[in-house]
Amino acid sequence: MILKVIGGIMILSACGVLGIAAANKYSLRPKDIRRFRASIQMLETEIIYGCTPLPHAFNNISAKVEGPLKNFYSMISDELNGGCSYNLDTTWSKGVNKLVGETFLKSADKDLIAGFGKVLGSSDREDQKKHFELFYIQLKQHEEAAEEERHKNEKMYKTLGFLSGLVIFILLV
Amino acid sequence: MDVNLIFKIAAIGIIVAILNRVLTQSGRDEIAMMTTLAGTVVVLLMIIGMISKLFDTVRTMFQL
Repeated sequence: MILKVIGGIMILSACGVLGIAAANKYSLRPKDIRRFRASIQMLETEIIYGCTPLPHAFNNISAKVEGPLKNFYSMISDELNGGCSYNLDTTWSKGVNKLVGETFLKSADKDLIAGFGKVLGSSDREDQKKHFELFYIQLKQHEEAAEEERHKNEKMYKTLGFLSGLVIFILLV
Repeated sequence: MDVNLIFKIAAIGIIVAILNRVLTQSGRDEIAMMTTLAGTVVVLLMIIGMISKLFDTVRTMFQL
């Protein structure tokens, strides 16, 4: 009897955790997008008002943010400073690939962010500002879509994981 | 005849009903339908032995 209870608790918790892990994929994406947008806003400030050169600006931002974004900016800054790369676009997209692997961003977000690397630092300040504005709008759209998806899926996956554990338990007993 | 089976079937029924609600609410009507069907099949599999026993009993009772 005790063995059954212990086994049941194990099955239930395993399935519950599985469901939560599946739900996390949806609940953390909007947060990641928001965090990325905040860091891009810092970059805009550095470029438009501080007139900081890009490697320097990336370095400054990497000191202010945390987690995967910190690695992202410090990696780009290091590569640009160290002379391993003279091309921002390739370095940027390499960093984005790594960033997407470490966060919950999707490949659609990856394309958008990688595309932004092409215009970054390629024109004067006024023009850059316009590009930033456009990028914010696009990011906002992605964020809204992610939020909608979260609303639709998060609760369902949590319930689904738990209930499937319950079904397995009842069938086995 | 064990009563446990009835409780088991009742529990499965409740869970399938909740699953159905949750899935319909998140706009996955086909999957909700599939879970309902799967629940029915599972319960049928559980009681199929008893049904065949019932038929056998009826047959022997009327000597068919």
